Amino acid sequence: MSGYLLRRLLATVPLLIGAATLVFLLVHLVPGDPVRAMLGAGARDSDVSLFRNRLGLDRPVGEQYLRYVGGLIKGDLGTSLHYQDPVATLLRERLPSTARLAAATLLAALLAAVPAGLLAAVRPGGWWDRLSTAIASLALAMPSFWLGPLLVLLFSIRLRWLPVSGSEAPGAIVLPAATLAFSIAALLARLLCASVRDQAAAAYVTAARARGLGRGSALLHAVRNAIGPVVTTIGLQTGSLLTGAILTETIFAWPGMGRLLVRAISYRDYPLVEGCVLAFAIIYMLANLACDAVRVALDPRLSRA
Amino acid sequence: MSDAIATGDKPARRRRGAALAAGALILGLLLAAGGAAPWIVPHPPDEQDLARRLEGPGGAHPLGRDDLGRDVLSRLLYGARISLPLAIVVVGLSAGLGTLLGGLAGLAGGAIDAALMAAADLLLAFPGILLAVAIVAVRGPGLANLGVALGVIGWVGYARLARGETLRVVREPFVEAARAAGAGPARLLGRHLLPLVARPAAVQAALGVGGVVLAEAGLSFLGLGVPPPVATWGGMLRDGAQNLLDAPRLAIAPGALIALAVLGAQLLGEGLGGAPESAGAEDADRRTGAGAGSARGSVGAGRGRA
Repeated sequence: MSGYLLRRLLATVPLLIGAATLVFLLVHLVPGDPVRAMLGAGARDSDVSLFRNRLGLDRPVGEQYLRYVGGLIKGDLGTSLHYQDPVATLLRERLPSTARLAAATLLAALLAAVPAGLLAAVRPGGWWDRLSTAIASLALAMPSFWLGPLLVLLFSIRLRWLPVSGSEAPGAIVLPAATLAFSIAALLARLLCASVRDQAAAAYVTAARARGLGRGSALLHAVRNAIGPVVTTIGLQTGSLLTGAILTETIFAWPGMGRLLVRAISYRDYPLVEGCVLAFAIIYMLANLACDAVRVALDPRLSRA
Repeated sequence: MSDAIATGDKPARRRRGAALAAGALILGLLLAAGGAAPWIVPHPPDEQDLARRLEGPGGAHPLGRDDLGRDVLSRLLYGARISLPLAIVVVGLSAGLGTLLGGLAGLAGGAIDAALMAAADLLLAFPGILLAVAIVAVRGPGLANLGVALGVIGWVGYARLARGETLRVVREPFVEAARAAGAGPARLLGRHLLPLVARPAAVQAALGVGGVVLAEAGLSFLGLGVPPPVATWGGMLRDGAQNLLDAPRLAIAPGALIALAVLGAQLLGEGLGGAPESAGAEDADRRTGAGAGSARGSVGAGRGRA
């Protein structure tokens, strides 16, 4: 187990370096002048060169890259042009908000998906299976940035049960979390259902039934093995969580990293854009690593693969 | 879902047929509406009348007017000219390119294969549309940049699919025989390998169209899509969300069309033999390949290895 984890962790290092390089290239090698874009077409040449100098953009690209990587190693992501604060500090301030939203979303998604998926798996083709499949198709087709305003319309404007936006008021997390959780829950429920059904058809379940185990107990055997793919998908869904957060945090004015990225883009604050994108990628990699570890803990055979 | 394909039992086949027809119908209607928009719209999509902004449905404006007094129905129809065609072009190009690259990598092996897979892994390190957001953020909004951004992340799935399929059959007798008969890489790919990949790639492409529609709308919602005044569903949804209190229909209508288009693509994919949730499952399948190899078969549960 620890050997496997170590191997996976080591495999993440080149990926991290690659991701950082890609983000760097994206900002530094794309045609066009980011400083001019930021300051506007009417900016004076002297201001542009001043800014280029401050950002180090007048140095050779190779030198800029080395500085950038050197900074990364020390945890220095540069300084935000708009906020005039270190990017790392800005991200650290927003991380708890995004993490809180992600945790609430995942909890809500699992609370909905596990019973829904299991119930559908027990009776294939039954009314619940068909209904939940239809709901899931709809949920997967529904853009979160549509569902969010619809929920606001119903629960905040019409019923006045929940706040429209922000994060301070009690219950403020409910709507953004529900918005994000809907499609994730649908995906997890369908996957769990398919996975349990696959396992339930396996020989070991038939054998358990033949030995006189009840339907329910035999299914429990299947569930344990069926969880694996679901765990992996949860890891992958942190991706949807993070990118979904970009949209959802914007809709609900949630003070997290997603909204910070959108702000950074609108201010053309490139160091901050770089930092946000890289932070998202790192969190995503770590989440997948964690889920793979959980999966191996559930099924140690995988560590030898 | 996979066993239904394997056994090909009648109800499952009938259901798939119905899904295929429904998906094709939905997408066909939306495409036709977009194509015919210049001739059928009741009003020019950009014609403003600020005095009558947010006016409700009625008379010559069956869906009312938006916050600039423009006709909502006309703008929705014009929006169909961006969303779906862009998605189809992006998916078509990335599926073609990805399949070709993946097939070549699988055949060539060695350094070419390793380089391609490293590139794919790198792109997959960025969740969802994040990379597209970053690309458009840096390059600026616009139709071409949007297409590039969505295409850059799109080809990876097809490349992995084609490579996996190629590696699976490259030692099979029929490939060996073709090779012995003097078939070069082009003929091997075109005649023997691509036909095998065509079906799963088509499923992935159909589901992918829905994904790109969603991504494009999301980027437009963030202000990173095709800039105004061009009517796009995502952009209309964004403007509509600003007027949720006064005119909720402005947000409801474009969102419903986005969902309808995605649903159509899902049904099409399902009809071709996939399952909507398997877009994610396939993702899981691909990803675990890096770490937990033996998990592959079981993870792609929804996919149906047709």
